[in-house]
Amino acid sequence: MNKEQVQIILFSKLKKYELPQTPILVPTNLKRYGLSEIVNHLLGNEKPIPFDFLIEGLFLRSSLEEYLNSKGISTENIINIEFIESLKPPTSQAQFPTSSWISSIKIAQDNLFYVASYDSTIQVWNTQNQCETKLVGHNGPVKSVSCLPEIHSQKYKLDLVSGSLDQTVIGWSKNTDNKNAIAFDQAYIGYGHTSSIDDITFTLDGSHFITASSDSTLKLWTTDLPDIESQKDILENGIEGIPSLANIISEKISKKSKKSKTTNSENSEKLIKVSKTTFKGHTGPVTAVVVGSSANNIFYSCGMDHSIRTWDIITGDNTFTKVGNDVVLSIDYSELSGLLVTGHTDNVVRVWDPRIEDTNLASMNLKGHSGWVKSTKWSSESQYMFATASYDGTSKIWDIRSTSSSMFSLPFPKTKSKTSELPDKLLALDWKSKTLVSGGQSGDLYIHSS
Amino acid sequence: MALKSNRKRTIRKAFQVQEKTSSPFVQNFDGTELADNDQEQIPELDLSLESDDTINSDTNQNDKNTDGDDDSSDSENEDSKEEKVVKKLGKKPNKVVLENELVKIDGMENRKTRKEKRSSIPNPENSGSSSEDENNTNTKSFFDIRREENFEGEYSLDPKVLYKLGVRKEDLGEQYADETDINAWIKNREGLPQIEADYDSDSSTEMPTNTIGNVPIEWYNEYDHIGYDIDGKKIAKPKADDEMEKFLKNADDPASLIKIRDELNQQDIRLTNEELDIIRKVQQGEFPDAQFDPYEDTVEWFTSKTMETPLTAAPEPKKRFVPSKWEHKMVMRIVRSIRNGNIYKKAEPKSREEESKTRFYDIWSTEPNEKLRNEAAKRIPPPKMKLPDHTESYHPPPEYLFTEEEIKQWEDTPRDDRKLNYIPRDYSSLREVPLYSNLISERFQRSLDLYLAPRMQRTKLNIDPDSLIPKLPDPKDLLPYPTKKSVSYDGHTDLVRSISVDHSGTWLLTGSDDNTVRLYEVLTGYCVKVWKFDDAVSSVAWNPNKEICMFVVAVGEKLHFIIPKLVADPNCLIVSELLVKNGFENKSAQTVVNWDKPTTKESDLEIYITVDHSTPIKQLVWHRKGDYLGVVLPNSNTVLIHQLSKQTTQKPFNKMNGLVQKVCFHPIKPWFLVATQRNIRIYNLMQQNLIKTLMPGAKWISSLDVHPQGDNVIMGSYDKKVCWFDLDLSSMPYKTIRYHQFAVRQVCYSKAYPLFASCSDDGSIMLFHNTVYSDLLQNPLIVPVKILKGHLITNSLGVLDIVFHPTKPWLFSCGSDNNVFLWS
Repeated sequence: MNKEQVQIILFSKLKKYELPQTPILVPTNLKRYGLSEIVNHLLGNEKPIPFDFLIEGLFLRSSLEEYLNSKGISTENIINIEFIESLKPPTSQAQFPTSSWISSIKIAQDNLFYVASYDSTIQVWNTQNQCETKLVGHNGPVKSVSCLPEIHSQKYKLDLVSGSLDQTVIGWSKNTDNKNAIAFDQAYIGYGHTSSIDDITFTLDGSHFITASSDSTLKLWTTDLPDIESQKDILENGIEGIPSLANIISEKISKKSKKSKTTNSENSEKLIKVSKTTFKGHTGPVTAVVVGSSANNIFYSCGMDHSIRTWDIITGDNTFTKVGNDVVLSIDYSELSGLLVTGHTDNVVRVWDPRIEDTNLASMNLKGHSGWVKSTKWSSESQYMFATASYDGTSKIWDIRSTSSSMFSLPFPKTKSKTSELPDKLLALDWKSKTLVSGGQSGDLYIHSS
Repeated sequence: MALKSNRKRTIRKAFQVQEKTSSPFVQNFDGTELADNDQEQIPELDLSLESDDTINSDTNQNDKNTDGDDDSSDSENEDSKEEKVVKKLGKKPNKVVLENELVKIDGMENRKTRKEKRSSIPNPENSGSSSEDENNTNTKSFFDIRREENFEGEYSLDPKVLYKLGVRKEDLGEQYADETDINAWIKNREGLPQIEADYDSDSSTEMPTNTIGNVPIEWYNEYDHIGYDIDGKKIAKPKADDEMEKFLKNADDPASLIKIRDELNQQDIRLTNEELDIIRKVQQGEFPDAQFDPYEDTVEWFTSKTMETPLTAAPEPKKRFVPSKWEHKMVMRIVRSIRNGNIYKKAEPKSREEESKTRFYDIWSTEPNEKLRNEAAKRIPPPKMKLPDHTESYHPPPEYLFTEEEIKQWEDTPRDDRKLNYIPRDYSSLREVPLYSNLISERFQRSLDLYLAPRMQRTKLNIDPDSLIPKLPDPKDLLPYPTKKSVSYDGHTDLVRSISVDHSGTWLLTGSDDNTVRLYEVLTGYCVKVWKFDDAVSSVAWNPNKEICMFVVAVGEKLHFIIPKLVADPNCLIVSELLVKNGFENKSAQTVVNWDKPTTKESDLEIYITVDHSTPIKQLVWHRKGDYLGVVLPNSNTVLIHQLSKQTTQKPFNKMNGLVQKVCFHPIKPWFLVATQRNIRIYNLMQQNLIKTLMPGAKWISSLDVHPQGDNVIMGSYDKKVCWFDLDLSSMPYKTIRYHQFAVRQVCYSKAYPLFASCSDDGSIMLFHNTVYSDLLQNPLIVPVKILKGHLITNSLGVLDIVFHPTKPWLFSCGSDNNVFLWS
């Protein structure tokens, strides 16, 4: 028996778990489970609740003894341990097969999943394993999709924007004619990018959206529909950066008319939209973009040139640049914690504090993935949690209080149809409230609830 | 010798003289410098000799002048003469004269005169009255006596010779004159002491000598005798005088001052004049013996003067001054034989000690004898025979006995392949063991082995293996480079022959034997588009020009120019289309190959131009500006260069030396590299000439690539080699790397990072870090950093093509296992 004991004070920030603030002498070889038992005993819970324990803001992932040794703390000290209800691992809810690779997923508020697919469509799925509708309009794989919150969608008469490999942005508005089924109409098509549009995001007020493209630029677009006068102007003068718009448009329209005769006949009336501002600064393809805090009109972008850039929406300036070690594939910003999380091609997830501007070093390097991290998403509820999706076929949920490893890893059933030994890549992930949706190469949509 | 002693003497004489006169010569006569200054002293020496001679001649003259005078005048003469000499030499008169006198007769009759002189010294007892005179005129009388003594001896020599030897004429004259007149001589002797015939008469006539020896005389105080004489008789003690008597005696005796007491004989002895003289000389620090001449003249027995008239008048023969011909010949013969090596210095014979050392082994020596030890070490003992085994036992454990199967197997195997050359057998007792049948043959074989098989000792080199490894930087320090498989590009159903990445690194093209070309998104691995053709795709290549979005595909014999509209930048799309359109308009008459507009079927595949070569295409390579395209046609062994903008084709080489394998454009200069089977030739396309031929020494070159800076070339060959050439250096490889197990298929440089890679049929990709210094003197540093393994070997083919990402440290590879991978 280990005779070493240490005094601890257990406390919780939640009222219902209030405990007397008296030190308890416990053996140092206790681990999380033992501590959890003590807490349950003290609370007098009949049905034990699993707890997690935090010492100085970090999760206790070993025995108390090891913790004390690693920190060099004597057992004579009194240790304050906070306990929280431990998170249950997410449970797999459903798995829907789609027709092609999934490039982007967004969870709408009404439990609809907008799934951008490589078969040039955007699919709208509900939680009942039903594909509500397919939005056809793009000529190439749809790379990104973003939906406008409902409060704003009314105002701007727009629900969805999507960016595609065919270098266009299409704004979609919900067709409310048919009450039974959900249908979307193309509100407008945006030209301006000269390469694949890899990410798209709305500003917080919904008035603008920003696109990130492989042509190493970002563009700011207004959400509202373009007026008729501007259409004439565009047709006459063309769009900056695109030499022969008419040529392209006509070609694309002609193609579309060929293709989509069956589906849609009102192509000719499609409005053309041009970007408001172009942000130039990246020296390689821009892979992702995310809007910053609501207070400042800033957004962050990352790209193949290893940089994470901060932009001012109003002035269009690149206010700050952090250059890391490797290609950044994804970025997300948490309103709760004010931190950025990025996914890299060196399989590392990095957490940055954008407020610290004098360093190029990440605040945290989280290792655990064995493939490129293609998608990252902060939890909408916890300021500590975020989820990542990687090319290694797993998505992980991380807690920044636990630096050594991820909290949960969600493996996905591998499809062994291919010859390659590499697992099916996960390309897209979204996490809103308690629903976590991910998808990728296999074309399957994985829904987890936490 | 005589001369030398003479010189010494004169030097000494001169020294004495100089000492007294303190002349400037003193320093020259310093003892140590004497020998050194020999030559300088010679004239001085001659001078002194001359002076000596003059003295002699002077005296002679004086003597001659005073010839016939009486003794007194003679002595006076001598005195004056002495004075003269003293004046001349600055010497003390007395001594010098004495010496001069004595020296003259020294050679012949020195001893005799000395004896006579001693005997002629007047005995005090005998002389009596004359002693007083002698005391006063000591010198004078001494000379007189001595001169008279000269007459006593008999001279058989010729008087002339005697004269020459220094005997004075007057002496001789007197002798000869008075020879007959004995009476005159007796007359002369009157008044002089009696001459004793016996030499030792002075001692024999004395009192009996006491013979007690060296005992204190005080012992005889009690006795009345003082000892014994030679006959053993007691010598009576003389009457001892009391003090008063002694005093009176001394007062009476004028000679008491020159008397000494002989305690042994209890007598007072009066010292003779001679003895007094000796005492005086000792007191003065001179030679006690008056007759001793420290500065004798040399007798020149052989003359050093040449005769004025030679004995013969014959002229000196020629051979005296002409070098001898025969001697010269002899010398030359020796010289020649030395040169030829016929005469050589023989090794010095070993000293006896060494000989004995080598011959005999010092068994008791504590020092190790290295030579013997080495010899002992060189001896290789015969290999030991194997120790007997259990199987060789007469009664082996049953598990060692052969089963029937084993016996059969043993019998089936050939004799040399058997593990055991006998079958183990079991006997109940040792008695029953028969003679081993193979004994003789095995012994014989063993003997043959020992006798015939050469045994040698392998010298083990004691080298630290770490020291042999060149000191290279740690690969960890050379990051980034591709380390693991990140993305796979799936879809091909047959081996993928060729891959190409566009200039931005976003799109990847693959050409495969399944007749398709696929376009992949690099980051995700999604196949955006597939082109299906009628024939296997042997090569694909993106146009490297950023303004043009176009790639070429070699499908069998046809070459297609394709513009992928989906992924094309609209600006580039227009440029590319315009380029093609203008090309068709400006096209000149074509002779080599035809540039055709696409058929409708081909137009659906976005093919804009088709060039039919009527022979299979092996390789396509773009010039960096994207206008020229090099094509290798292996069957016709030709190289074509297409120009896209003018849609023309050149055939730069009429005839190729060797089979063309690969071609490559130089990234900076207008050079064109052609790899034939054995060599790599570099041509200047502008000047149309051959610049350099690289000879890698490989048997069959498979691939080549040029460093982005243009100074280095790497080459891969089917005989597993990868060679690095420095174009500034020789045509031989700077470094040859042989890491692959099978044929090397492709080598390539990274444009953005200091990396190069080679892929091989062994399914591996070797990654190297290469640092090319801008300093021309420093050789490039090549460090192998990583082996990428992941491709499977199918049909004995491995990785077929590799290409680096244009901006990232990423590597694309395709293989015979239908896979295309991105390594990051």
